[in-house]
Amino acid sequence: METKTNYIRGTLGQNYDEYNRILQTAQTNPEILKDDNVEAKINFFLRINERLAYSVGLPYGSFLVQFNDTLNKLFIYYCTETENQVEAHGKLVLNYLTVKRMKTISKEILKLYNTYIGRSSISNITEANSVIDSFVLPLVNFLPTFSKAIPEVKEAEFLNLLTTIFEKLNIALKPELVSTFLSSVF
Amino acid sequence: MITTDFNSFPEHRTNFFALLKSIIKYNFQQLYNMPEDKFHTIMNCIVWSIKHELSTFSDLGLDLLYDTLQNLTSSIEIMNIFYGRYFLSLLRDLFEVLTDGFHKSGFKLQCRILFCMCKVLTSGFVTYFVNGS
Repeated sequence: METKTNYIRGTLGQNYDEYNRILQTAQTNPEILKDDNVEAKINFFLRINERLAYSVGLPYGSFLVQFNDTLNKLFIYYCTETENQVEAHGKLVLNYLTVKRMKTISKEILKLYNTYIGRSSISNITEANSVIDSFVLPLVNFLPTFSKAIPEVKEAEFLNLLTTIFEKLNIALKPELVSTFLSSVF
Repeated sequence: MITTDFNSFPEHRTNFFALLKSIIKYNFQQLYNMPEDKFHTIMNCIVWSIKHELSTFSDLGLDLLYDTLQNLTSSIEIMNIFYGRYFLSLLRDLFEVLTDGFHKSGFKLQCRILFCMCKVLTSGFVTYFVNGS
């Protein structure tokens, strides 16, 4: 498993270092995340990872687990920023390139999770539990952001991700978790 | 956000019905255990999609309704409660789409659902209509 993680890490090369550098800087200066160049780099990093998740499948999780926490924080940050922009300037800002870039990053994060879970060939309950513990349970933090958001800001990919979770992990999903997800959607 | 008209948010609409389909298929019990008003909203979504002008959505709605009715057969108690609440309204909605001429593509499934509902009545399992109303 460690060899696979190192191989994926090697494939990403300096993109992973760049991503970590951006996030370290963002801890002291969150405004950097609104920079066009930074947004483009994050977007590029996410797209490479999505393709990796597609090709590698379940073992990709051992690499994703190293930075999924930061992905979740990024998702919440960009969703909240988009909401703030809409509140301050109206729905028209959704057509602005700056806001579109933020929405693209949120979408790419959801797409990455969706591809990873969808492409994982989960054959037993232990594997399913491991995916749920590492990636699905932290997604519960997205729910308040999703249910509070105005319709135009809500990402359709989130519904797609829930569909994939229900289909692929149904053998191990606890009823309480399903109810939590359902109550945020309806 | 998708109940005000038939056309806005097409991406959300497609993904929402795909989600509903997977919930009905894999987690029907949790769906049924939801608060009554939320379950009612879901049933409204299904009925609403059956009446949708696009056959993609109306056929998907029929599929969802058929799967829902099939899932009910696991428990007589659930069947009684469900049909007690929804039988007449579902029958009315079903006849509406059967006779309006806009939903011909779903005729086969509409008939299958109607057959399912008639079978429930004649099976004797559902006693609600006799005792309840």
